[in-house]
Amino acid sequence: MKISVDQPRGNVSRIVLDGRLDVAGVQAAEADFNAAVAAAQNVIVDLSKVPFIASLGIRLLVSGSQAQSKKGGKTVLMGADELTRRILKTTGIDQLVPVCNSLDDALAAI
Amino acid sequence: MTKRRMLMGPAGPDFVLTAARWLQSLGEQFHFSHDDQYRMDLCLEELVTNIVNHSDAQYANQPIELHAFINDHSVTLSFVDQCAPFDPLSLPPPAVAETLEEFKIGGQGVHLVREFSDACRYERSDNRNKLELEFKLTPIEQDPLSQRDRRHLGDVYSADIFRDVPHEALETLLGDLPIQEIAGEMVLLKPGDPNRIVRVVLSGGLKVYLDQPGSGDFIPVAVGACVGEMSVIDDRPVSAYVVTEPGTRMLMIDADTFINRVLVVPRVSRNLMSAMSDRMRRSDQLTIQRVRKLMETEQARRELQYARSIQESLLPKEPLFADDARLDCVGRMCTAREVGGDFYDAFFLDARHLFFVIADVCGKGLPAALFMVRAIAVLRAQSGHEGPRDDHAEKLIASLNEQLCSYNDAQQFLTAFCGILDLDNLTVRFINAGHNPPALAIADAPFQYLEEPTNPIVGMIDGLSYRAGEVQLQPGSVFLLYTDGVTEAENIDGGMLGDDRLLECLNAETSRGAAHLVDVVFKDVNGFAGDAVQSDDITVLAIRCTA
Repeated sequence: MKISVDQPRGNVSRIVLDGRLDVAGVQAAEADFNAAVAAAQNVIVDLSKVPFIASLGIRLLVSGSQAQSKKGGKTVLMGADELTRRILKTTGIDQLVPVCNSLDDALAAI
Repeated sequence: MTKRRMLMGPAGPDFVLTAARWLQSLGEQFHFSHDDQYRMDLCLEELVTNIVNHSDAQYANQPIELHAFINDHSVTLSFVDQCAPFDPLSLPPPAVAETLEEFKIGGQGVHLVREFSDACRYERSDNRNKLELEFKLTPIEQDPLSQRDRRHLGDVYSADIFRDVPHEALETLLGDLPIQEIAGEMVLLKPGDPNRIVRVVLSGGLKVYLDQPGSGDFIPVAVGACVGEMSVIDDRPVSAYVVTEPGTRMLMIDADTFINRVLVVPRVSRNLMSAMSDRMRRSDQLTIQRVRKLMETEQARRELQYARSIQESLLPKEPLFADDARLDCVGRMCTAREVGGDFYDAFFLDARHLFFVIADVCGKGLPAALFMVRAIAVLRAQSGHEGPRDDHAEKLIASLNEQLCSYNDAQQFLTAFCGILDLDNLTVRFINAGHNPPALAIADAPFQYLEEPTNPIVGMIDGLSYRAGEVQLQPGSVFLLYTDGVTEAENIDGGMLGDDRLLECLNAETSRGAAHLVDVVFKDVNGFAGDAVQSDDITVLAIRCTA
């Protein structure tokens, strides 16, 4: 599980996750992901390179969003594939955190 | 045809990863679509994590079983665990959160499982939780005997039992048999278990133990070999422990298929008999080694028993000097092991002088016994044929010391108390060489310890001279000599009998017969020690002047 961060706009950080968000993946990514979220004003989480996400991965995304919300920042998810979207829909997360297709949409949502 | 695959492993955090990998390899083998793989992956991850998290300490390392039944249109995954009864499907769906802050992650796992599988069923039976999920597969064209099938069967063809068997004979037969994978070291079979499955090892290995697992002696079963053929053929229970190495994969051939379809394939019977005779030879070898070891131990034990009886015969029998009216003398030794390092002796130097001694060799068991025999031999050889001089006792001990200091690489030593009793005037000239002070009762007076003078131990430093003491006895006086096995006797609480208690025990007796006093001391020691193991040799010598 690899993480990289860039700044598509001044006050927005994009965190790109690369790898499976299963039990092992979450353990590997947790620390860096949370640090990146803490350092950002607003966050776009890019899931286009995440082929699999289990509930532990969902928990990671949600806790990151909650942390952002506490400090007045916004979170948007982007690049989820069809099944991942279905998971986000089933768990009701898509009602709480915007899920977008492209970077432009994501930036607009912030 | 339904293909069956199985994974078994102890319930622990590692198992989630192992299970995920197992499912991954099934996906590669059977070419599941990305979406189907994702769905099964997700459900597996959620459920196995759930089971592992719910298995608290009492279920740690109980095996979890995962079964996959794969056919053309669907896959059924079955999860079996032995933890407390729990039906995940009975959990209510999680409450819908209105805001991000309200969102709770708990319960999402099972919700996802219900959403992403096509059917799910729970059952509790045999003390096990059994959860079954069905997934309808997006159809993928597969021809019955593709390259990948052949590659997978390659593992099986190289098994010893199938050596030189034409592949066509095995393809249809074996392609559909279940493969079981075991994560972790597990006891697969134990003596007395019924067994109707022949297992062929495809990777990893097994260990067959005749005694308890981990005992050190085992027969290895390597890749290509099998276990269980014997119990399948003779329908009798397993006779050994079969333990897996972690990550072992086995082809499972049920009894019916094995006997009626596999055994009839040409060459299989011959390969089987050759494997079994090889195993019989190795098992015979192991048995011969074990019997030999047993015989050697038995031999050693018998020799020690023999040594004990020789040692016992070296000591004077009780009562000593039964015909001598002037004396009432009894000695007794009880060794901690078969042979011991204490001794006592009493013999006349001439008509009126009695020499007596009690001694304690450092240590116990065989080394102490050997030194004891040497010491007693030297003493008896040295104890003169002429009548004793005044300093006979000192010279005797000094000479014993010289003799024992030489030829003593092991640096052994002993403590001793000896004396010469003049039966005409009842004087005793004694030497204490590092030994426990004896208890002495003069006439009717109570017992007291005879403490002075003392000298060093015997056998360590040569050239020593020893100082004697002298005491005047009266008729009826009793010398009670003993070794520290008496005063240092331990009970199970670790307490010691002690010098005071020995005196109390002796002074509580009105009768002062030698045999009686020896009995009383042994009884007190045994009573005090109780169930504690005897840690040292216990020796007592009682000498009473009657006249």
